[in-house]
Amino acid sequence: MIEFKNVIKQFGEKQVLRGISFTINEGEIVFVIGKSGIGKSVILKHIIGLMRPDSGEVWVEGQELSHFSERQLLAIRKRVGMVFQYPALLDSLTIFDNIAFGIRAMTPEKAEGLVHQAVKEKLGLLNLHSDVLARFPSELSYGMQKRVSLARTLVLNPSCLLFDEPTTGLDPVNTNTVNDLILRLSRALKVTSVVVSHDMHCALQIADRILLLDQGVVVADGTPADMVYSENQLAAQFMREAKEKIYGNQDRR
Amino acid sequence: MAIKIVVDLVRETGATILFLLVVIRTVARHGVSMSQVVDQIYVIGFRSLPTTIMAGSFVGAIMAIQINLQLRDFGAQAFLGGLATSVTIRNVGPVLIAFMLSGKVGAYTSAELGTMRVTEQIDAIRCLGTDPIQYIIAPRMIGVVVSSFLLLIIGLMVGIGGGMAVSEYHLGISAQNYIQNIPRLVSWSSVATGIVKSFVFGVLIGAIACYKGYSASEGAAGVGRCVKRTAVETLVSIIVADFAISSVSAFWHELAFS
Repeated sequence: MIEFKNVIKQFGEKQVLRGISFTINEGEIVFVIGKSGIGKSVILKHIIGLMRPDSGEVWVEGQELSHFSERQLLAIRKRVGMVFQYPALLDSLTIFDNIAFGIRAMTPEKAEGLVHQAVKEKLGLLNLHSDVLARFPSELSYGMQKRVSLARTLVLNPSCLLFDEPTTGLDPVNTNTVNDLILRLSRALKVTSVVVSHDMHCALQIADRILLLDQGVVVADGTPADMVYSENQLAAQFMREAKEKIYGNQDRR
Repeated sequence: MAIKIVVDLVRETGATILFLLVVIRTVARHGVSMSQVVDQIYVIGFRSLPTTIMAGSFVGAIMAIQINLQLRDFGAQAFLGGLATSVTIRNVGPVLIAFMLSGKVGAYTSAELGTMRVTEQIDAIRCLGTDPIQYIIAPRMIGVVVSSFLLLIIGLMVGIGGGMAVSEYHLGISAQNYIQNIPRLVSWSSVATGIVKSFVFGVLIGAIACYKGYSASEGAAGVGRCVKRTAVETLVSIIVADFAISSVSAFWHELAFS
């Protein structure tokens, strides 16, 4: 479970999070939506301990992280994985070494044969062939790099996944693959997923809940259906196009 | 305005020193991958060798030509080799070669680290259970310091050769005459000053470039800013350090010979 209690975060003069509070339950798929620069990625970075709140509390799996040292955060990062907005692959390493990076760092005792097996298994989940393993990130397309970065996070088998715009730059086929994967991980393995996205179509299709952020606080929190029929003007604006695509025919009936 | 500049300067200097201390502590506690350090020395140092050799030889040649102009009027050209070498080793050589390295090595390192920062590679490394200071910064900083130091020493040695060559082929002073007075005029304190300056300049280039790159933010424009700041701050700090080391060296010299 993830819980934010009155979290405040300020960058210079700008207060991005203004006493934000919410709870995300185990196994839920929660989409965080809102205008650009509103602090959606900042929320993800607090959950994995890349940022600390100026005040307030961030609880992840029963532990309050605000005062954790980097060493203490290591245990959290074994269970919480993050897929970044950029592929964030290390240019000097091959794709295999990139995917195996976390597993080697966090479980150095793991035999190399098992590392190979885990890497290939996750590669297959993301429609990537094993012939990419010996290549370097610069030799792959942006979409492939995105999927490699997803494989790199999945290889650690986290119980909670944080996605920062996971489908940006992906074609529709691979967008569906990623969405199906998030759904499958949630339903089969009870993996909690927090997804920052501007893709309302995906949000309405796979989210259990949607949090709408504005002015540093959650202004709407509900199921996709709640959001579609929300009276909140900002929610209506966000949902309009996706609503027509998914619910359009039903409305006309 | 002036107060803000001073405050910023003090803050940035303090932050760079703290960053350097964090890197030293990390290396002392957890060590560093020697293969990565060797890789960095190859990438940063070996590839800068041709530029350093060229810059070093020209620095030596320029010194010889300039000093010859002064000595010729007094008929004291026999001392050219000693004086040109002393000036090259003590002051002009380390400063000019360090300027060149700050542009090449410093800018390269800060741009590389800045790009890693803004494309979230450094955050990704943290999320994957690795300390970026140990994995990314320490090998680069050691690589930059060692490379800069070695390149400066090589540049100074080549500088002596450059001075000798220009004397032989352009100024009409034979290589034998040029070398003859070097041991008389180049003291061990000159050599020590050159070595200390080379090391300090290497540390400055490494610390400033790594700190600026590591703390970059706000996309491509942020990387541009960090490279610009690296260039400006390394140049200024090299001048200030040169003044400080020269003053201490002169004081020590006076003390030793008084």
